[in-house]
Amino acid sequence: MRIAQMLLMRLRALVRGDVADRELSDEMRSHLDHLVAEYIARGLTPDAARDAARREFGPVTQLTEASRDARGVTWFRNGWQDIRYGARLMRRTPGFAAAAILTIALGIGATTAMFSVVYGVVLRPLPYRDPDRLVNLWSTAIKRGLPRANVGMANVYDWKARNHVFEDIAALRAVANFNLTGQGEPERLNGSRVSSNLFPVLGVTPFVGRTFTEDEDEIGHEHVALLTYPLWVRRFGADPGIVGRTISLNGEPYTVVGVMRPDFAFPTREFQIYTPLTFDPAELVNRMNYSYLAVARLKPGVSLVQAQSEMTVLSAQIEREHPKENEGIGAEVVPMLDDTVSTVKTSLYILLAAVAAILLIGCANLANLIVARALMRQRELAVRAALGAARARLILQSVGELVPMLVIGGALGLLGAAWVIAALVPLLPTGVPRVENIGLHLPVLVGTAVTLATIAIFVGVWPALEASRGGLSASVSDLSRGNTGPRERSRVRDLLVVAQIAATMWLVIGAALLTRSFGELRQVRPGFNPERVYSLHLAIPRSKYPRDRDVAAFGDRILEQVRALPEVESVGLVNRLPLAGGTQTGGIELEGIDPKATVLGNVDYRSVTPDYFRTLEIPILSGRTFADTDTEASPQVAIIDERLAKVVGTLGNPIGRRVRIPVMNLPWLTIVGVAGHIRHDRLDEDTRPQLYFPYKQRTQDRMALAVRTRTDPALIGGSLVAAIRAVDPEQPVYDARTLEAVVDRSVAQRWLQTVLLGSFAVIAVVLASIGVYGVIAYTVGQRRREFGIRLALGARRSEIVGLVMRRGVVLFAAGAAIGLVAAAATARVLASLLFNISGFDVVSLAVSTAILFVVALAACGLPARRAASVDPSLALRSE
Amino acid sequence: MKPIDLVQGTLDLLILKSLALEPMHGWAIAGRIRQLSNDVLLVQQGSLYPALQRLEYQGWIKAKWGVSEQNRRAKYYQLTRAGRRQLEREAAAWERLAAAVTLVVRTV
Repeated sequence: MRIAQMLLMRLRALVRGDVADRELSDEMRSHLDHLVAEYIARGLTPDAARDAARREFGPVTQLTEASRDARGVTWFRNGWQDIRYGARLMRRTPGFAAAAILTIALGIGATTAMFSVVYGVVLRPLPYRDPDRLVNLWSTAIKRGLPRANVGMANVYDWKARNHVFEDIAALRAVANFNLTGQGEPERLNGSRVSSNLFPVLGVTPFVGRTFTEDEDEIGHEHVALLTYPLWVRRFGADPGIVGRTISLNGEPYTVVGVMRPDFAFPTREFQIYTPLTFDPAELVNRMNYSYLAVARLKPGVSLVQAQSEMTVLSAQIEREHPKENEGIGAEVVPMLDDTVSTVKTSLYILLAAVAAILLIGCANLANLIVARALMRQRELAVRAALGAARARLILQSVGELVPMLVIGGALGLLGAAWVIAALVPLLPTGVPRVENIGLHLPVLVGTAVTLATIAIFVGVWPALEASRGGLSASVSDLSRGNTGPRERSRVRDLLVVAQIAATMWLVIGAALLTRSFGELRQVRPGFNPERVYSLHLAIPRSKYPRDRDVAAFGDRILEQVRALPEVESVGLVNRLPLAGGTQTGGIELEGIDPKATVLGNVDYRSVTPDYFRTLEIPILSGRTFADTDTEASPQVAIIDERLAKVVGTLGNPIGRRVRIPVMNLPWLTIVGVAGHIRHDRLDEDTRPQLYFPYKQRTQDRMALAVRTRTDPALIGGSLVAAIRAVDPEQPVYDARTLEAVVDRSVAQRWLQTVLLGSFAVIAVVLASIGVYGVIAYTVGQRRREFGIRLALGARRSEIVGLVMRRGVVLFAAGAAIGLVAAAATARVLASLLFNISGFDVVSLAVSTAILFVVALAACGLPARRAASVDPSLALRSE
Repeated sequence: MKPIDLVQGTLDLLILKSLALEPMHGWAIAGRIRQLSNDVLLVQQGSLYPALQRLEYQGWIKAKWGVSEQNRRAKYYQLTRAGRRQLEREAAAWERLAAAVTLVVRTV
């Protein structure tokens, strides 16, 4: 009640202060009238009565002022006054205002946009219940060269039965292809097969319908599907009667049981459909098939460390029980959010730091501008201080006057950030996770407000202190004469310039390192020739082509159709296209080589058609390529890459030796050829040797078609789809692009961070050179008289230039040194983004220093020339 | 226990006490204080107004415009519930202070 009244009264005093004032003066006047009437009643003349009443009442003006203060809103009214004064000041100096607003808008826009990316991707909690208790479980097999691998179902079952740290563990096969047919254009949907408990583990409920039941985890009951919201809208027109509808996936009927909520994007937004996870019960016995992901929810109060140590103990226990199958298999617990964003976290934080550095450099310029203006008004401030204005009041005023520019600049910055988010975020390369979370969320706006407040304090308080410093009486008399002023006054400016140069140095070094690193990356030869090659993907449904031989025959027919196209030079099929993101790996055993002696536990498996090598121009170094005669019925053969050949080479010519996958008694394969090694997973990492199988002897139902064309490959897409549809009108294709585009996409993230940091560095250099120029030019202006005297006394003009330049060089050296130290301090972090060069790369450091040195010289050169051209007689006479 | 600013605190207390009986306007409050204290306490009348503003903005009293006995528009102040409690607190504090001062003054 009382609080409400207090607030209400203050609000009234703020909004209707004039009314409160008028009422007060009415009240006081009527009081005075009473007194006058009383004195008249006692027999005084009206004039005498009025005097007596005034005496008794006291000084009206002061009492009115005191009453106003008693309302407790004076500071606010003063602030409002200052802000309005600031707005008037802004209109009077539009150039100054524009420069300041632009600086603020750029700084705020860039930091807000970058922070919204960092917040949305890295910091924003996952959209699940108690998301910090969600973890991913991984297998580890360090001895086999696999620090982190998918999990096997037998292990998941054992973990589930024995652990005390998780509420539950869910499993899924992340990538499952579903060819949706029956409604318009056939389409391949990227989906996921998930255990029914995934949804309770995540703590999510569907938008309509239900999620899966435990029954549906059983083979024979799994023909139900959950759609994501975007798929429901896009493919089914947001049909309200979708639940219960039957759709055709891979040629089989599935009943839609529900639609997930709009924000559900698990594991990423690329997934559009879910069906129940079923698996061959034999996996629980043979403990094979590490192709699942496991997601678990920690019990309340259980820490990550506790969970990890429990899983380590369990893994050791399981290894003792199954020494052969589980040899060297461990388990790792990783928080789900960390796992999701680990690939981009460092890069984003470095970019955020870069943007913050730009903001700092811009604000230093702004502060310098404001100080220059404050010094011009120093006399006014000094007079006011002498008349009794409190220093705090003057500082508040300085901040208050900035508010209009901060508000306008901040608003423009926010608009800019919103534009950046709307226009540029969709262009982010695939593989940047959680892009859908990027937006101007509340914490981002709070961050922006805090930044603006920090700018206000940094840019407002310091100039006020600067301007009101030094004996006030002294400055009143001093300032009338344009002497050089106390020397220490420029120290803060010097510090600012040094900080600007240091921040710029740090940024330029970072940009140089990334650029050099990207150059190195582009030097990497992938081992195949992506020019003039077009590629697309096919998921061949087993329901339609049940046997390997059916799939192979389907592939043959497609190859035949495509080969007949006039623009096609050669065509091949492969189950995993290089640099496209997918891979299939496992161990191999080479005849005559002790498997324990060599690390052969981690090899790429690839099934290819005979012309694949010719199409990608992967050289066959010895032996032969596969032939159409390598079929199901013929002897089993394989091609190894040159790295495997080196391992076998210790025994002599590899051709004719035998190799096999060392599990489930798979047959031995005869090596018929050696192919060149290629970069398969990434250009910047070369992890595994490669083993090729003929497509007909190890058939895969997910295939990529690679076509070498005689002309521009980008034009062939349409005829390829037509050729495939001629074979099967219901066969969808996906991820169709040139192989060069595939290669570019694989380095898109590095490219983007290089371009971004490079642009930030350029902005920083421009801003910092303005800063250096401004400060040097200002000092030259201040020291005109001194230079005039020097010249009059016989100093040579070159000496004057030297005098000015020396100051610039000293500032540059100090800033550059600090920048180098900062770069060294962050070299370790940056190194994780670098390819083939170290964080201390001498070339980058030298080039950066040289660039900045030249820029600094240029920025000092102009004012130095002006200093040298001072006319001594004018300079001396002007006072 | 907060130290009591004698002058200011006293004036606040006197105003609150005057209003304890009935709502009244500024002029009447001044008269009441003079009357109740047998003219011992002479308040500079104008200084009532900053005090009244303060008390109102603290929520101890609230004001309403009315018509005075001389048929003039006047602002009538009255105690709020919080103001009544505040009066008790201040009165108690004053009595303790007065007693203590008396004790000190009487001691030889």
